[in-house]
Amino acid sequence: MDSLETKPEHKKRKWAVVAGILAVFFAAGIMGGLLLSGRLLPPSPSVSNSISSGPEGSPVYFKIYYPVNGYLQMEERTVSPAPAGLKASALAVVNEFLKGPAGTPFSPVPSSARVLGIYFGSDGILYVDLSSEFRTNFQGDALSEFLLLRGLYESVLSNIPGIKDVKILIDGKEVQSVGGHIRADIPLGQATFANGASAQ
Amino acid sequence: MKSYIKALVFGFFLLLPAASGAVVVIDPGHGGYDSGLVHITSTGKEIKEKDVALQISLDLLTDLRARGGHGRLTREVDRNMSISERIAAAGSKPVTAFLSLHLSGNGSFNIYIWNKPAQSGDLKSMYLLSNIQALHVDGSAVLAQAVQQALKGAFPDRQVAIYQMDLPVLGGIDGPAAMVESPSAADINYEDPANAARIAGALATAVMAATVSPSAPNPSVPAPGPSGPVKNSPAPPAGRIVPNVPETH
Repeated sequence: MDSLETKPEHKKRKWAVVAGILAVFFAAGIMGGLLLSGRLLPPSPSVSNSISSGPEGSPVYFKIYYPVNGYLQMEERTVSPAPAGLKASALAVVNEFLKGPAGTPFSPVPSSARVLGIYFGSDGILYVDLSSEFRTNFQGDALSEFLLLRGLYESVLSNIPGIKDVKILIDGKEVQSVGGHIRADIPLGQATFANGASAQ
Repeated sequence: MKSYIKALVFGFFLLLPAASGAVVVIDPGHGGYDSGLVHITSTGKEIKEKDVALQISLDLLTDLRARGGHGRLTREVDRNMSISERIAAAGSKPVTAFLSLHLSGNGSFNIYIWNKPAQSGDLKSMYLLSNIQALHVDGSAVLAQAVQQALKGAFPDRQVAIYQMDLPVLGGIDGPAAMVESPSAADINYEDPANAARIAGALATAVMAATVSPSAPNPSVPAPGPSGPVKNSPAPPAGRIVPNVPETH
């Protein structure tokens, strides 16, 4: 008799369990949808809009890395007044790099190369568009090319916050190589093994 | 009759490597609009890396064939080739040896070999075409050591160093591979064809020595160390780590 009295209770519990499972699936579906649409993902690291510098008009110091005798050597460059904004700073860094090391008669940096444009990718990659002289005036062996590209990469990453890698373009176009030894159609960090990935 | 049979058997074994695709691929660096390093002589003549690399390559091919070897070039004329075109020209079949020939920026010989060995179990890494060289790091080390030994023999006054660097032209090669940089045109007079021929002769000796028995290293060539290819670099740059690279990012 007791069992007969408790039967509706069982049914209620069953329905409650079924409803609970459905609710969990429903919630999971909504969460999945939100995740796929990116609404619940943490905001992707964005490039900050400024680099730390002193009061307005004061100089800024950039660390620029050059290939010297088979090594990368750092030179500190003063730019005054400090460039306003991140894009201007990145442009100044690359321009300083293209000047070549001080006091060296034979610069490892290709002569007459100019910056044609600087673009920030949403993927944290800085795209540096260089004039064709960067390619045509390059004179060096495999190691020289490696150090040249690695020097540009280190110079940018040491001075511009939020940048993960650097990719070069020549006259607005992707090129497979600058000097015929190292790949330039992939970001420089990958091409010179600086960010954990090897050249592929 | 017996002599005919002997000749047939001899011919079969002579042609077997070619038929099975056993071949040495020689890659003359640069070409076309990409001259590579350019040296201007005292008489005002331009000596271009692309021409020297092609000359050494042609001499090497001739020398190899004269010794009964089989080889081919990725380019036989002055034309530009991308890195991927060079890998494609090497062919999809395994090669006995691959040598990419360039000039260095100084008076020494530099030999570069792939650095990254295949990760066991990582099939994607092992069989990725652009990374297939990872399967041959030991064979490439044997080839590099044979090249080093032969060049030291032919040029005892020159420094011959082996570096490990994952150069992309080596990455897609299915077989022992190395990039060899000969001394710059400022350090060796390449206007004298005997010098290119001398380098080619040493390279031919090395290739023949390293490929006599593909399965086992030649006894005359020191075997690679237990941790992989031997680094023998008196100069600082070796491997994936660049000296003095800043740590600040």
